Amino acid sequence: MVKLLRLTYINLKLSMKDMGNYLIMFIAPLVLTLAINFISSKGGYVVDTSLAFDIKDKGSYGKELLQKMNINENVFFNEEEKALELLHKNEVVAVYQIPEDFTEKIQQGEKPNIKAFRREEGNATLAFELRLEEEINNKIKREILIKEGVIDNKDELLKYATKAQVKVGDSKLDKEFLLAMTMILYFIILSSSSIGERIINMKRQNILSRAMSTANRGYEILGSLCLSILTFQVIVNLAVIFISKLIIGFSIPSFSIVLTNIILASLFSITFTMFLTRIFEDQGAVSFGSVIFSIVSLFLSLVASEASSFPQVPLIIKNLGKLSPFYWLMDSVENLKLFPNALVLFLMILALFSGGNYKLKSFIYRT
Amino acid sequence: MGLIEVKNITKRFDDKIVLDNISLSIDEGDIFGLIGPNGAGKSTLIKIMTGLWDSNDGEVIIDGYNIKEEPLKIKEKIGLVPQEIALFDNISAYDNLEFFGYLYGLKGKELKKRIKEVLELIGLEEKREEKVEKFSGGMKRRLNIACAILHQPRILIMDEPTVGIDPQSRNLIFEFIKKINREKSTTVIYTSHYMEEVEMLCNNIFIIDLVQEVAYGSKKTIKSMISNNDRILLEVLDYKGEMLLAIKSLTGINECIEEKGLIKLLVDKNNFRLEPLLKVIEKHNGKVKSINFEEPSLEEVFLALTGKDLRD
Repeated sequence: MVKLLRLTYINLKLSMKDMGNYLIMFIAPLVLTLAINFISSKGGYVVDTSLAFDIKDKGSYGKELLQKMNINENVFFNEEEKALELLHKNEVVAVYQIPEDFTEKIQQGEKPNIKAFRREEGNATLAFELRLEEEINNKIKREILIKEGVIDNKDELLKYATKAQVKVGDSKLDKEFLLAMTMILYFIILSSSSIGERIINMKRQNILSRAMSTANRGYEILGSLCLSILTFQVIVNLAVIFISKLIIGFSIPSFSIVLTNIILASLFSITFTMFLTRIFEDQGAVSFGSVIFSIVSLFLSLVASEASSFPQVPLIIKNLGKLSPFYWLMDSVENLKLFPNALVLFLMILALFSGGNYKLKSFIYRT
Repeated sequence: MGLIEVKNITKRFDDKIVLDNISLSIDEGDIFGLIGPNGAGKSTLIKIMTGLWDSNDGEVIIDGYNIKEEPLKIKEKIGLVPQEIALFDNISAYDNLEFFGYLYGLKGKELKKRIKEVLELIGLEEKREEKVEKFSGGMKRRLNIACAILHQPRILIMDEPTVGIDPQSRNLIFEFIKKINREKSTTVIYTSHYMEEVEMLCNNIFIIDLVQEVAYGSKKTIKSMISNNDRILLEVLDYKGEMLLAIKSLTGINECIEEKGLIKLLVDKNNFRLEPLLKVIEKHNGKVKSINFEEPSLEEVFLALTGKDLRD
């Protein structure tokens, strides 16, 4: 055991000296987390300075709506020409005209028509328009509920909304935390390509065969290599989550859930690499297999976890997502639970370990 | 009983025999040469002796331990310099040595001390922080050796350590081998297909070709296997034709020819005596300027025993 730990230490020391390891396991998830968070915190749609609004609404809902959406610039009241001039000068990409009967229609439970003037067809304003529609729909819902006597004022709707939540955990988590964990877990699975590359390189550079001539057993040599990769991944990914927390300011709801999922993802990544390495023994094939698996795995798990949002996707595809480690990892993080997720992941790891387990001696000399 | 006993080793890959009933014994402190052309089976034998491969038949006993039963006990005593460079390219010489030092069970101050020693021994102390990818072929070969001697092994196995390197590095390696053998009594097994290297370094030799033993024994024994004749080259001043006839008539002289001022003799090593030869020359007023004895080279021995050149 002491020997295994000593060998793990020297392998870890070598890993820490390789800048390439930091790129995929530290810099990439951190930069992507920060970048996506930066973009999404801006609303995810074209910022208000590239849009203009002409409010013709006789009531107050039009103005309130824009204020709620933090839109303060390029807002005109009954000044259609000024708004359109910005469009002609190419200073904005679209002008939205809120009609006279906007408040009236909402109060009647009808959907008002908002005119949009654009320079050209495109989907640059799509995210904004979706959010605008969502806000209007919510406003209409409230009006109907007040009118029907279900609620007394608009603030009560929030109580009902909270009571109606099926996923109790949802409200506990910051979306920035979920984003950071998604990035971290994705890059851990993706990093299996670099682990495979490292093992095959060590074989190609005859390091493994030389190591076998020393007074160490095959499992000690390979085991210490895997343990060092696991330790490295856990350290750098914990660093990623804490640095993201520091910069973005989200809260970590459960450290043990974070740690367990990082360890499980890393173990999956390592055993998956061993499995691929045993099958292919070619650096290119192992890297290609790992990358494809990570992408497909992420896609399938998204489809499976958001099954209700994709009614047109066949059931078999949705169920396939449950075979992806990503599905169980993210489900564990989102719902702050370890059972049965950790068990399912552990069984996956065990299956890959059995399938990918090989004698180092035969791996080295297999041609 | 020698420090290393190889008994009737046979290795097969499927139906193909790659080593056929090889036996040899190596004493402690010896520099032992294992020579043969490429593909003869040298590296296979080394891999079996170091426990990297298993043999189908036979056994290897090193310092009383059987390699199949107690491989780790044997590996502790061995330093292997593999034929291929086995180093991390993207890290420094020091980091490579540290990594292999850990594999040999060294740590802390002791490891640092050993790294310093071996870097000095192979002349790379100034390059310790440089990445191996920037090293020349010779420097890599030297570092490849350094990694195998960190733990001061009793047995150093060097599999073609001088392939593709410059003469300066080659000489450094030879000096190093002689030094550790002399100062630390390290037993060295040296494989090569360069006969002149083995001839210069080794005391006992095993010649292998086509997966079988061709010859085995001391250098002298092996050379005597192909001929009982030695060659003598004489440089004599003021000699006459009568002197050559007198020399030819001496006991043990099989041939005497004069060529470009040199007298070349082929003598029977069992019957030839030097004293009568010198007396004949003196009697004919000749003056001996130089005298050289020539044994057949290992190259010639290999040619005579196998009918082919070693580098064929």
